[in-house]
Amino acid sequence: MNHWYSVFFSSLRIENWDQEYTVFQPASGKTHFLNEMGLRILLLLDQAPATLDTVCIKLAESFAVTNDDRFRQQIAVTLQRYEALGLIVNTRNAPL
Amino acid sequence: MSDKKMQGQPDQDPINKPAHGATQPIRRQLLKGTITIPVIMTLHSGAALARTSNLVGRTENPGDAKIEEGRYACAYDAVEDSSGKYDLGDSPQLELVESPLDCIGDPDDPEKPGGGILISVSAYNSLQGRSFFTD
Repeated sequence: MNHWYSVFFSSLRIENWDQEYTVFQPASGKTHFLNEMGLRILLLLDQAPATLDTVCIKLAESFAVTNDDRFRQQIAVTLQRYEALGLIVNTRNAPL
Repeated sequence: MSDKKMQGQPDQDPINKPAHGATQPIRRQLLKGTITIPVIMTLHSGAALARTSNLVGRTENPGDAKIEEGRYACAYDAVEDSSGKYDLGDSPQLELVESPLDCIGDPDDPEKPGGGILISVSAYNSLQGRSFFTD
């Protein structure tokens, strides 16, 4: 089963701007603007590798949202976006 | 993976960290108003933007290049691209000259071969700090 995990999380410079977050990524020189759920995904994947299902379940619990197909699709797209940015990787591409 | 990293960065607890004091401009409501889906927007590297800004336009009006009395902004080694802009390269060669003809050349004066382009005062100011001056 495919797991996601964060890479170089400790190198990120994260600032809280009243539940909005700026994340500077030194490796790319890019700055990302995240909302709380966006950052929570990175934190979850830094704590332990997780599948899409696990991420969805934890987010749904934390933010009291319905874990339906639409939500799952949104999270899947976000994970792919994070992967493209070099913030996380998938075990299918980079086995642990 | 997690424990080691978190021990090495005790201040990296952004969700519980106090927020910077900030107002709530309208443009930030995209992030605030969509808590039920993750949002990410990316600002790309400043280095890439800085490199692009070494593209300048040539000014045809010497008055636009006039920094002060008797001093005009001139750039050398400018390569014109297909859009009509001039690429000054990684280390723009700038010079303040006493006359526009000192920069672009005077066909009647062999001592003024030219070879440069006049650039506006705004372009000159934007290149300060990233240029090699031969004043």
